[in-house]
Amino acid sequence: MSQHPGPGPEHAVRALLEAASDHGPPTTDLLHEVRRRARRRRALVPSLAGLAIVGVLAVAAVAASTVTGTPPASARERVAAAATRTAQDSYRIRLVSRKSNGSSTSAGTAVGVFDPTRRTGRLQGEDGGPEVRYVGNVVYRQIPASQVDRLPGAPGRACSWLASDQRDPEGISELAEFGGRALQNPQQALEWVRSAGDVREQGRAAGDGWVGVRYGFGLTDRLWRVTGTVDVDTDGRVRRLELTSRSSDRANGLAGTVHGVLEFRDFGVQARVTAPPAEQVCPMPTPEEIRRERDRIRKATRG
Amino acid sequence: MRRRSTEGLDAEFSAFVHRRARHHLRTAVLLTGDWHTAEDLVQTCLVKLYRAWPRLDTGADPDAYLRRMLINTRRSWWRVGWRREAPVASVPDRAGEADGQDRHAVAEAVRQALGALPARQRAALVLRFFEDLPEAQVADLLGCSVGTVKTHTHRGIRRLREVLGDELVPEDPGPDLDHLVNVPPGRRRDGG
Repeated sequence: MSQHPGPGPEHAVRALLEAASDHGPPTTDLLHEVRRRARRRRALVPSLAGLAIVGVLAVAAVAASTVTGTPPASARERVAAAATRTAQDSYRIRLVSRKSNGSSTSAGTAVGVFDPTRRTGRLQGEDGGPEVRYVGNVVYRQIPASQVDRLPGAPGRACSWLASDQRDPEGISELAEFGGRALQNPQQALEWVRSAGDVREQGRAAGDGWVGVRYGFGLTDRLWRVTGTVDVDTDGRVRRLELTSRSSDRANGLAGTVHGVLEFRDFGVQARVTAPPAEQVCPMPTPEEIRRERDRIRKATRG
Repeated sequence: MRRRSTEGLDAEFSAFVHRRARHHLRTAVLLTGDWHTAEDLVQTCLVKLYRAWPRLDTGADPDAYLRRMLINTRRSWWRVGWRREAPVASVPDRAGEADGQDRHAVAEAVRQALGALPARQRAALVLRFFEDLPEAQVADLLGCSVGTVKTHTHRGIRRLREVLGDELVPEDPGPDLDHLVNVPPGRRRDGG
């Protein structure tokens, strides 16, 4: 089996086109302008032209009521509704994370697409690198080209993808799941936000082409504390999720801080993600298999 | 076609604009090179879509309609000389060398580099890698063959690399060489 080639120019061009079309200047109200120009050209269905007299705010109210329903009462309910709403459409995601445990720090930026309705998604480093795909309950992690080889527990062949079940618990604490998985899978992050407590409105929020409200939230257990903010736009969608996860779980080697920012955009984007070819996929090694392999290598190194 | 109420049609159109207009505006800025022309292009096409909305089947994909309108309208503007872009007199400095990590400078350099491409190469790159459309769909939108789409894409990427540098547009890592080990001994490349 050939080694998987590194990211090619197509990935780079995709990222450049994203950047070149981002952060545009404020635009006119497109819907208002469309109605005005259509009315001027006498091209409207007469009853639709009548609606134009009411104005943009009324139309926005119709659209909002069609799309989001009656606004819930509390901040917590509004955030939960936004998380639900966001999970009803595909989107692009940009995820910036930073992890530190006192002795080392790592940081990275990933971009991708998710389709919650099809339960598929894809993430990759902003500058290329191994890809992660989500197809149903299975997560496929691409192995870096330099590491394509036989793996502990692998069925005697080289693999370029490792598969694991998203539902497999880490076996530590539920909140640890949030801190870790939220930064690997935005859908998981939205699930946790939906159940967040201590949610309070903090003020206005704005981003590229949207405005909305910022909410703060918190989640704690004996060893973990997660705090953050959720920005919800006027369409009732989550646009930005920022979280800081602090752990004192030294017994499991998880003490430290994780900080991440997830930005949601381009709702409705086409998100075609498929599982890798079966012959390239191996199951993720179990912790026991990894420990045995490390012992074997250590003994072999000592000669 | 299922009959829908006028209020329902208007609400549908409004919801579509709220949800997707920004994305199509981004496509338009990649096709035209500047935000003001892009906004005009999107508005023009949304007016056409607004008129056609009552006739659309409920199963229709308004994104696909709007995308085709953007491509065709942009092409017609270019043909009649309206909104014809000023030719780029000189290629921009290589963004990777001049501007390091500045995202806005890179964005501007990419838009200029796109503007220096022939219109069909630019459209092929935008439809393939921003809209993420398969080659067959791009061919249908551009009114050409899949092979021609591949050619436009290949040449467009090569031209972007020349302008922006291989730090921003790396070379292809190369073909899978494994199949060559299975070539029967004695077969020459010229087929003899």
